[in-house]
Amino acid sequence: MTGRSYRASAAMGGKVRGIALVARGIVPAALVFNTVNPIMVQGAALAGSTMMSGFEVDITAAIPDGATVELDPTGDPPLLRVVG
Amino acid sequence: MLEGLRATPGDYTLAVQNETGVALCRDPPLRAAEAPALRHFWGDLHGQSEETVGTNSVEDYFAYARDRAFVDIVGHQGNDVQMTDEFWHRLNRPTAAYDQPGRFVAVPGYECSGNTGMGGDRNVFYAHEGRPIRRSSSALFAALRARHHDGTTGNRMLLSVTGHFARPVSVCGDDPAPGPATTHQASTVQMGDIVQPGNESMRLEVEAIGPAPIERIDIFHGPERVRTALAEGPGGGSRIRTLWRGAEYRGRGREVIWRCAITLENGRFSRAKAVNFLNPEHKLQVLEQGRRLACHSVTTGNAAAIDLWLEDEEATEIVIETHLGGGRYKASSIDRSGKTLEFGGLGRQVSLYRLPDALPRRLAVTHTASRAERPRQGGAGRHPAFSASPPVWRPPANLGRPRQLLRRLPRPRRRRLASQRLDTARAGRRQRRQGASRCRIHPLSCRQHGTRQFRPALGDQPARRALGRPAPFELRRMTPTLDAEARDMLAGGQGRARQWAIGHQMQVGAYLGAADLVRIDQAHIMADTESLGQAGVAWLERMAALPEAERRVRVPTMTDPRGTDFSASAKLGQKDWMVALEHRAVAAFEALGVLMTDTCVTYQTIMPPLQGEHVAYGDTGVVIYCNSVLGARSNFEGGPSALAAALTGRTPRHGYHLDAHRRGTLLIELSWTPTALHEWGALGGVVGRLAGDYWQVPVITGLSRTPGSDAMKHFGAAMASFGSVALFHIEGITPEARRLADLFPSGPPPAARIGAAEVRALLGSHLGAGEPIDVVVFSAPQLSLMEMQELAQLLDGKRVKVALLAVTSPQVKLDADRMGLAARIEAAGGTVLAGMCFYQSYARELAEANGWRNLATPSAKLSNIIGGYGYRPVLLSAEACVAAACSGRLA
Repeated sequence: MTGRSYRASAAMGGKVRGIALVARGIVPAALVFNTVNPIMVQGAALAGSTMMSGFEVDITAAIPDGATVELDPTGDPPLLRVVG
Repeated sequence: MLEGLRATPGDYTLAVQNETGVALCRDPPLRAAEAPALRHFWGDLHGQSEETVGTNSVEDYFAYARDRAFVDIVGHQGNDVQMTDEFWHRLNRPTAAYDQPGRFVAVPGYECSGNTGMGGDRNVFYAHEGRPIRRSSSALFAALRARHHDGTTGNRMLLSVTGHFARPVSVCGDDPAPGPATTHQASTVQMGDIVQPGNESMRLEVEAIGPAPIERIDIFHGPERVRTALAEGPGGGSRIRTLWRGAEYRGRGREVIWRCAITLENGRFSRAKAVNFLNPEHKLQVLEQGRRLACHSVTTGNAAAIDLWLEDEEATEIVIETHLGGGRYKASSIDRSGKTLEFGGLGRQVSLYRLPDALPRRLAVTHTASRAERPRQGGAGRHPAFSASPPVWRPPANLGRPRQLLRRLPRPRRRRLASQRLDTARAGRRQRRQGASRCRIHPLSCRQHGTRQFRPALGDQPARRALGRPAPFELRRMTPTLDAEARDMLAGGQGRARQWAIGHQMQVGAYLGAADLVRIDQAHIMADTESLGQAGVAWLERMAALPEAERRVRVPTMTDPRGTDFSASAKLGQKDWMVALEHRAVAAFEALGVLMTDTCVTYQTIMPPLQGEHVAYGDTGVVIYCNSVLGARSNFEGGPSALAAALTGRTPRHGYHLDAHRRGTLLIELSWTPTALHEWGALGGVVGRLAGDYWQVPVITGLSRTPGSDAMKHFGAAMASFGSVALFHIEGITPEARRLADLFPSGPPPAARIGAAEVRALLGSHLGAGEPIDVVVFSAPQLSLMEMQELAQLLDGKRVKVALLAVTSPQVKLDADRMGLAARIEAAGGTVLAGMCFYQSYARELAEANGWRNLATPSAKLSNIIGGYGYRPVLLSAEACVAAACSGRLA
């Protein structure tokens, strides 16, 4: 998976505009959160976007800004690896 | 540029002030000396540019280091796995170009990426780019090999560590352990030197000049602290620092996530200051003014702290709570040495100690080290940053490394010792893993983190939940169970729309751990075209073009407010294309069988759900009201998900459809009960900020009277807006909160206290008295009939000077017309709008079309949101809003 990903501590707000996300093509390559609300999950599912959450560490602190990461969302468990 | 600046020998600091004398920045300490034997250099040997994982070009990187950061030495360490041959060759050009012997050293190199969980990355430096050797580079490598440099957590401390002997001693040119090393004689040595002093004692002189006040110098012999020199300063001694530090273990994933609370009992603090809170998302929270604080902090070996200035500490007790443990201390028992709570790991600890009000920026100490000591210095500044020198090293008498020593031993003992070393290493690894798993979770975080397992051994971060391309319909993990009808939908037996809908729900349900889908009685869809956009409406139209049997919704489905009131769009200044798009969306929704209710107050106007009834609602204000006040069960359902629920008549059974998630996670004790609606909204905003997470369920106690429906509407809508909260309980009032014990089966957590002061702080305006008001908006949520009546009464006999918009539902508008309320509002110059919501109606374009910027509103939710559309909002009472509309200014 390549492209720019977005990571944040928690998904806030109520209105993720899922239809608009898909249609306007403004979907990041991946979404990475400590915690998510259902709206974010729904939006990511609709957009076919990769998303991960529920890490054992504070993922906002574990990934430096600009870091390169590899995501394996279909692994068991799903894995995020900081590669540089 | 300061031309001609000269200095006589001495220590200096450069500070920059603006024209009013406010300090803007301060330079690290400078020392001017005549022909110094040693000079300080600042270096940053590890950075990257945009060609790998940094930002901006490699030329920008070197220019910034030299001309902006003013470092003397810089290296470039692009990851080898990302560095192309072309870039590696190109990198050699700027390093050669920027390298200026005697002024600036640019070192070519790369990062050998270890790519393991325990680190393993290596910095590789070259002295050449295939060009002549740089002399200053050689000096750098010689200095690095000699360890004549201190390490810091980021501060640039001017640190001098020298050892003095009464008679010359042997100083080794290299590590003598592997074999003979060259030596020379010297009476003075410095940090990093390897000394063979025989029986001579050493007088150690340490001087530190920091960019911030210095708190202490610690001198160690190996890991043991043998001396502490505390800096002195003025002040009454009322300042007490609570400092936490440490890491879980070495390597990636080492961070300690601190959740701390500090409570003063029988006393108050007059001032609180956060120290080293570098993450803007992690702020110091004042739970109760003068008495209780909380914070979320991360340390990875560094430290952070809170300073409290106590008002009267005679009887004050300080209660520390963290996710690892806590303690209770009499304030009068805390001195400079203080108290320390140890939590294992790599120096995980919380310390309380007293500090003067001010500390010096220079601290020096002289220490006589016995011949057994190998002194090493560490200094902590106020931030609290840290610098540590390497030791003045005295090698052991029996030279030789462990393996070499082992080889000298008889074989049986050698095997036994080797086995013991292996066991010790394994035990250490096991202990580190167990140490990480012993974390206890603070109540605030138990919901979001659940049970915390030991950390991964490698750099991989396993997620409990994931969605991933390229298999959007591949359900690998917990797949919700489907009944026969739902399976038929998934197989496409009931048309393409329902097949898409249930596939979407399966994905969402799998991610969120739904065991199955729950049947719903109603759905409510966010459907404004500002959210949908042109492509979203086209998507709806494609669905609306399907055969009727495939496209019709299965349960009563309502819409949230639209993006316009068709009868007032021209007056509002909305463009034709906005109106046309709305018409297209309405036609598409009607073709799907959706009821165009266009309201966010369905519970006041259409059909409120009953306690325990499962529904799929979109608007966050509708969800939180129906969950909390009525006891219905819904999660936040975004537009497509609510439509999916309407098409299938089901929704994934997770979150607030389940009893387990409806219990309290956060206890809030109110010392003040609002009266006006805008105060209820502000209180909801304070609670929402405190909760700050969809999975938090605040439980409110202490209300002095039962609020009405409009109060709960504003309270809940603001809480959802400020904190993404979907459910709250009020003890003795909301249906699931008859007893606290039902909401906290394991006992209530410590309560956060909220009073009038916290609400006043949120009400504080960015607009000053007398500033013009451009527009006054009564919206978000739409006004009830009672709010319309109140507004009509406030406007009777008055005339507004600026736009006043009263936004309500189509259902209330009919009643307001019939009862003459709308006419009274419009007689005063106001505009009544129906079926829309101000911030979902192209608010930015409205501002541009009408010249609106300063906005007054009694809605805390709107005041929270509308700033993002370019407005400057002020939250006022309904009376004050009307006054501002009539005068055109903020009173």
